[in-house]
Amino acid sequence: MSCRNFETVITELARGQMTEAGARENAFAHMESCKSCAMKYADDQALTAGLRAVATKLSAAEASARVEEALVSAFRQRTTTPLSPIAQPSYRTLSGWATLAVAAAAAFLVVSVFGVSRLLFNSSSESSPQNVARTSQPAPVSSPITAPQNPVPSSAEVQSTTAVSSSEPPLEENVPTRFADRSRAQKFNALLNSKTKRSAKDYFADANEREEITTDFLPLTYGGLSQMDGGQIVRVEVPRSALQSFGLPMNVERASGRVKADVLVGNDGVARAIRFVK
Amino acid sequence: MTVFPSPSDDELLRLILAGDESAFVALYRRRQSGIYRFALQMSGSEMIAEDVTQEVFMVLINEAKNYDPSKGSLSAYLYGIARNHVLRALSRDRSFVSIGDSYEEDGEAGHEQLVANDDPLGDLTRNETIVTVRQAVAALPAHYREVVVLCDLHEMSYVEAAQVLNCAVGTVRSRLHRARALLIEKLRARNEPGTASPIVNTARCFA
Repeated sequence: MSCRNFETVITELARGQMTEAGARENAFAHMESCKSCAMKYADDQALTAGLRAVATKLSAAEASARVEEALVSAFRQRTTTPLSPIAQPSYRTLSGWATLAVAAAAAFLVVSVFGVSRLLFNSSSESSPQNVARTSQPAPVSSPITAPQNPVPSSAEVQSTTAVSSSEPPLEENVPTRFADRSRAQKFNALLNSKTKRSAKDYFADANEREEITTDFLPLTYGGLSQMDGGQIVRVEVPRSALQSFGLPMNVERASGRVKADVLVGNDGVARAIRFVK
Repeated sequence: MTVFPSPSDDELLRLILAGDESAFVALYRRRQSGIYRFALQMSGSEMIAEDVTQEVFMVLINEAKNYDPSKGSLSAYLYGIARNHVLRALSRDRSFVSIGDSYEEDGEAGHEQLVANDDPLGDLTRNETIVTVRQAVAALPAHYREVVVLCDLHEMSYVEAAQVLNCAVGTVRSRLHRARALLIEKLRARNEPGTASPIVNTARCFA
């Protein structure tokens, strides 16, 4: 037997797991002629002894009686109400798959809301924008906007914006219309960036009648609003727990409730930012 | 006097599925110690070991029907669940688990009564050896540590360990060989500090 072959059997030999008598004799014969392999074998044997000592020392270790009590209690609940979720013990948390499934369902729901609202908007704006402007705000509501090409307007453009604004018809008639010119888009962007209460009043008719308090627009994607060349604001309702996701304070007792939010959706269909509305 | 053979794991599982609480208790008492020790030896934390033991049997309560006897024994199935939970716990609590935590400190005190006290000097030496070996095992990368725990500390065969780890028997064999070589290297370096290799001084690796 060569040293290389000995190396392949040394673990089994030291653990006493080598069942072939012939191979074992060959290995011992090799050790008599090779001191290096004999030393390796001695090390492996010492390790085996050490590991067995560790195993022996912990052989009586077991879980505490508390674990058994909890499990028996859970088993009783399970057998009495096999399909009820209430039967799940309180210390259980969602497994990884369940969490993924819930997250996927939530994502699907949000995407569906965006998709449906976009479809609704497109069909209604193509048919009669004026009619849409005079209808009450459905839920979810989409308010189209077009962001500016150049975020820093020139002085001439600012003047133009002012002129357009002064000659604008009342807000109620303008709310859902698409921004046709660049200056108005710049105005919106300025309002958006300033993140004041006024932005809500300007772009939601309802906001004129009932005071709405909004948070800042919180970016949903890398780059946020800077990469947007236009889009819509969609009013949605999201679980109150979403507030926590954005680091906003939330009343835990009302976590199961829903809260209104405006989602800024780009022309590419990607949700860019969100703000919460009270 | 008639001696009734104790029911097999599979028979107990059948009874558990029928809602037999005593069967569940019997299976729990038969298997919990091994699962607990596996989790303890893998994680080095009694708290994690208890949590994992509880999780394993909760899975048995809720999803016992998912067990497929053709893929391995019930014991291997339970160890496999325990392994997944341990690795998840280690990954989650990576920054909080260290070699010198409760397993080394509380564990020593907790299991002190298991050691005979006839030969104090011999016990001291033996205890030092045990602590040293235990620390060396705990410092192994997880995929090496688990084969040492299963094959050397739990005396499982390569086939059983392969079922638990869901890998080939050859993989278990080669990992065990490599793991033992690493352990010898670490233990030798402890005894001869001057010859310490860079591997010896690394903290527990979770690769």
